[in-house]
Amino acid sequence: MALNDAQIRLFLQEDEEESAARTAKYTGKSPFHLAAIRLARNHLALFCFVVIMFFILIAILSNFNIFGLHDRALQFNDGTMANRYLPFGSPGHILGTDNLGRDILARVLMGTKVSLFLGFVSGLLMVPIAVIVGSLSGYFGGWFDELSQYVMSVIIAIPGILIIMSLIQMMGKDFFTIAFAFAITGWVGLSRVIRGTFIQAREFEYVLAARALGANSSRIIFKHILPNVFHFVIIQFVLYFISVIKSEVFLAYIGLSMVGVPTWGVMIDNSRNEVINGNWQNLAGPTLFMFVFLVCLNIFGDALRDALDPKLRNM
Amino acid sequence: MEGFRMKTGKIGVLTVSLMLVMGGLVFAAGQQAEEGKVYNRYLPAKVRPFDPANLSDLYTSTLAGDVMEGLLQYKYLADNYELEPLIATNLPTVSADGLTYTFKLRNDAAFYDPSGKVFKDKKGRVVTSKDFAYTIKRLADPNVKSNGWWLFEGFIAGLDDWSEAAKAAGKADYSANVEGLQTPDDFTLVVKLTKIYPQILYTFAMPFTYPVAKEFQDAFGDEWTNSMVGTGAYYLDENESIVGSQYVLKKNPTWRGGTYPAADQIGPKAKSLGLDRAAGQKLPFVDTVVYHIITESNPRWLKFMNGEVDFMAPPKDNFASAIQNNKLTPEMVAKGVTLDINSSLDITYWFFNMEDPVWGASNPNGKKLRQAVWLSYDVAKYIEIFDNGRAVPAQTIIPPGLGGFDPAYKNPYQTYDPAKAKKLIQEVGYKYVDGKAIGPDGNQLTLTYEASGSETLDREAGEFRMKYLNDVGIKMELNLQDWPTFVSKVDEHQAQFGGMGWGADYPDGQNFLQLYYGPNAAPGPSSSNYSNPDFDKKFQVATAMQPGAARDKQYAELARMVVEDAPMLVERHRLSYGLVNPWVKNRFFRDIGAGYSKYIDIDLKIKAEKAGK
Amino acid sequence: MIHYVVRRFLNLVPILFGVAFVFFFLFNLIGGQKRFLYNMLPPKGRSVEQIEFYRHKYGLDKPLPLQYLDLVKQMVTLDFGKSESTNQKISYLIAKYVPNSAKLTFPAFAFEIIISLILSALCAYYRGGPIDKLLTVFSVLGMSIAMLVLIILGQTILAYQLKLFPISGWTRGAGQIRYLLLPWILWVAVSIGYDIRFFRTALLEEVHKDYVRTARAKGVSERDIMFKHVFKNAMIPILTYVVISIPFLLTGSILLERFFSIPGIGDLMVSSIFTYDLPVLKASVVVFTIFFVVFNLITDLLYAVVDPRVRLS
Repeated sequence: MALNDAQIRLFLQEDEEESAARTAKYTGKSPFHLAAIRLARNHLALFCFVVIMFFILIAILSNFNIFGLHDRALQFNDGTMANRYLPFGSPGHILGTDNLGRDILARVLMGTKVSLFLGFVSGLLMVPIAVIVGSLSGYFGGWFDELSQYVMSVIIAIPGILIIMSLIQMMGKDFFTIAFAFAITGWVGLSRVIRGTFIQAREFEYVLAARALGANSSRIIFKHILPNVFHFVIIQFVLYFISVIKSEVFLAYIGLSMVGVPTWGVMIDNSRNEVINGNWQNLAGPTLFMFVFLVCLNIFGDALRDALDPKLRNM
Repeated sequence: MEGFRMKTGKIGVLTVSLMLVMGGLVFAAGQQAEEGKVYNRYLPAKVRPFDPANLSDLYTSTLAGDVMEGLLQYKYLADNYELEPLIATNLPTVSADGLTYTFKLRNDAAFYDPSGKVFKDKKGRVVTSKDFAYTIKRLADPNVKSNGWWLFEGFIAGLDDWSEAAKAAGKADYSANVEGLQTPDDFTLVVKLTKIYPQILYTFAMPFTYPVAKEFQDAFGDEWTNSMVGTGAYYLDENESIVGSQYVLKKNPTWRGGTYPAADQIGPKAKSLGLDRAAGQKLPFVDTVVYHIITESNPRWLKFMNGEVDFMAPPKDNFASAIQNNKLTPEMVAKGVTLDINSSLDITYWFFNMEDPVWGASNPNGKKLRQAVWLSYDVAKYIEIFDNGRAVPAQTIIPPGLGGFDPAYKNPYQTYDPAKAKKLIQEVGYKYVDGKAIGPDGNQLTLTYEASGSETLDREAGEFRMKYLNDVGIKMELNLQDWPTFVSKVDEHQAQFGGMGWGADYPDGQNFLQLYYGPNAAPGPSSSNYSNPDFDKKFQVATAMQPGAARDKQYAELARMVVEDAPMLVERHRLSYGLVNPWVKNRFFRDIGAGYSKYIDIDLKIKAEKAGK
Repeated sequence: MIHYVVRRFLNLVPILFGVAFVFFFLFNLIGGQKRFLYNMLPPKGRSVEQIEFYRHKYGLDKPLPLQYLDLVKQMVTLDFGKSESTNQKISYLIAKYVPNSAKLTFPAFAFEIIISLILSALCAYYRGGPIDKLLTVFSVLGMSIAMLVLIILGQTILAYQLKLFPISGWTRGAGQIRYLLLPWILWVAVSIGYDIRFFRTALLEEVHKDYVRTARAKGVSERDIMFKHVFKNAMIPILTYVVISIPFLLTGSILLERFFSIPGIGDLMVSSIFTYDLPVLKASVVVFTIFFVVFNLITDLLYAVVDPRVRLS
């Protein structure tokens, strides 16, 4: 859906002169490109984007044992029990050490990988399910709609926590099980909204027009209606990402998070018994990282939504 | 704009007034009148029903023990665990053949019913021998499915038959006569055994034999297990108790009374702690005992430090480091908190399944393999890292404090000797290639360790063990699972080896040695399914002896007998830590038994000075 | 209209069947039967007979389809039986625990919604200005901390070190408020971030619609625009959001109940998963399902009242 000149101008908030210069450059560009331009002007969002990229970099790099990362994070400090609970700023251990003498910073960095991938994979699993089910049932209606609505109701009716816990207990506490469990319980909300949008959209003029012109259903769905919900899907993905990272903390509390690797949730849970004695390391390290990451993700997600949303202006 | 500001103003006024109201309510409610002396304890889990036949839960029975009484109790301040009469007038007379125990009961141990539903005047009738016969019969009732029955099964004449008859008929007949439980008069109970079983004496101090008043069951119907009608120093105040949150015990006004142990009943250890100050004084000292249910450890600590809970006993499995290097933090010292460390009647061990083809009894290589695994493991290091030093390595299965424990004995396998372990492994046909123990079939020696528990700690402990086995070339698979799954594997003899613990039910080495007894194979307490006829014979003889030096010698021999065979790797005896606030007086560590709240005193002056500061 | 209500209500039945099926499936798939049996046995003194006894008592020796039908029957007749881990009648447990959870979550939810509405209205009204920006920052911060962290911090610092609130506990009567204050505050702190963002967006979606521009052009005051038009129209998504959140209140309080020793149902339900306490699990699922379906029905009714198209479809 290309925008005309006047609309582009409004979008980019510039006057006629500037826009004349830009027209040649930007006419016919997709909304995504324009969104990128808009984003680039939002300095705060850019900064957050850089931070997010930094975290992603850490997540990827922490797969490898650079600087002896894995050793510092996982091994017991045999023989030197004096190394336990070193406070912040100790030489060699900026964020201190935990109850077994392991370096907190190293563990937090490894935990970054788990949290980020968990959020990402869960989201990647969740979104397609939600989109496919929502769009198909919204657009076509009929028996598929009835069936999917029934399934959605049943899934939401059971407390999500029960489903997640049962699945993890049954299939083990590994990464993909947890991601899958989150995805399986989290797609319903988004799906309903998409369904609603499609129900409305199928009566819109442009759809009727496209059909009259002989476009088939999948073309209509994917090329015409779906892009309209895209901004919503993006913000939902981001919110979901955030909620998965926070839910992992709860899973760790009830003992169902991943075992054998440090995760933010596990570290925070371990800290429960330690803060009473003034040992805040296990709590502060992951909380700090999680906080920074989630704040940046939030801000960036918002900016992205605003940049993509054709309706929202001037905010 | 104007309107909006007005609206904001209105909202502001509303908010402020709401806060004032709440503040007032909060203030009013905060004024709790503290009447008399209150002893604040906690339980780390919700309580279970108060049915004596099923009072195996440690926490519930602690609570119940303050309200209900048995025939016997443990002497509070004796150095070791000795029994003394409570509802019985004396320790029972035992017949010459050791099969008949005759108890004489007091005639003034009265039930107290705070609700008035069972006994209209609240003070009920006195306990009779019939109540005890009834409560013991209940243990055999298949419909009651008592989890204490195993202590009596096969020992009381006629009771097993009675139980079988009940199964056949679908319902138990309590009026039927049982030969082993006779009540010639209201205050005489005669228990006849089928074989000599000196340990049965302890069961009369256990919650399973607390007397149940049948009227109580009839009056309350199915709900009777939510309350208690007992003869003890305290009663459960249902008005002030809140289910799942706190249980309030108040002084029993009709209690026949009791006294603090006399000077000659106080052992040297207690004397050295100054616990003889209150010798001979009337009990109880404290008017109210409150059991708070606090499931999370952080609030528990906070409340203890704030003086709302009077003492703390960090659970043995929780190696959280509240007390590092066995020293109190400066904050605790300033508050006057004292640290009480005691050895407890406890053992943790690895059982090796003797029915397993890889290293079981049927495999001639088995013994050396088991010994090798034992030698490859560094218990001392485990204790240092995971227990904060809060345990001692076990030499045999009998913990210190029980007859049969030999402080001089050193178990040759309870040492860290990986070189010797490797030698043993090679002796049974394995070769070392790249540090791995490769068998004649070309595969690395692989063993599967079953563990229960899903916390990170459990995983770390498992990985710790894995490391040591790996160092001698053995690959260890770690199966971490929840308790029910773990137990079902053990019961079905499907576990190759795994970690377990055992705490004493009563202070007799037999309780630990029975873990090697052949007939006790899983689902009985012997998880290793060990079967040694020599041991079994000697065990039967020794456990029928009366407590004393001769028996202690036999127990020690039995404990040493199984070391070479190594059906179990005995790991450690854990220590019990207690943190006590300075206003708590007369507290003495007791690993077994209940009903000790009546001895505790609270010094209100010290409490006023120190609590919550 | 009545037709609509009746139709929606009848929907309950297949949903219950579906829920029963999923529950049944999950429970059996996770080896629940065996674990359930073993969880009831004591750590010491187990015997083969006991295991068989329990198996028979719970009908676990019947063929699976029969067990499924039993389950459905129990769910429909609300026959919960007794908890096996505590041998208490479940209706007794529910009667004791649900009110406590309700006292924790409903007022907290109410505060949360009211505060969020006020703050988001401020945001929308002063959009783009410093208040809006400040509140946005504030909500983002609130969304970025895990509940567990806040609880640990709150309890240790606010309750213990600063002695502003009791550490934990429970009592009877009005005094309960004292013990609920900190949990309420923590609940609100964690939740308003999301709410403010959502409500703000909903309000702003309205604010940017054409009819608002028209009204402004006509000279209607900003205040009137806000409260007479925008708010009312934004109410639909806001109300939906609020009502949809309600069924999740019961489980949301688990952490707070455990840390503040409030004897509630959230804690009961989670514990029952670990103790494989089948009767309590079943009862929790039923309670939750009914709760959920009822509130769903309310939402649908609200939709039908507001949007005639829905009624006719």
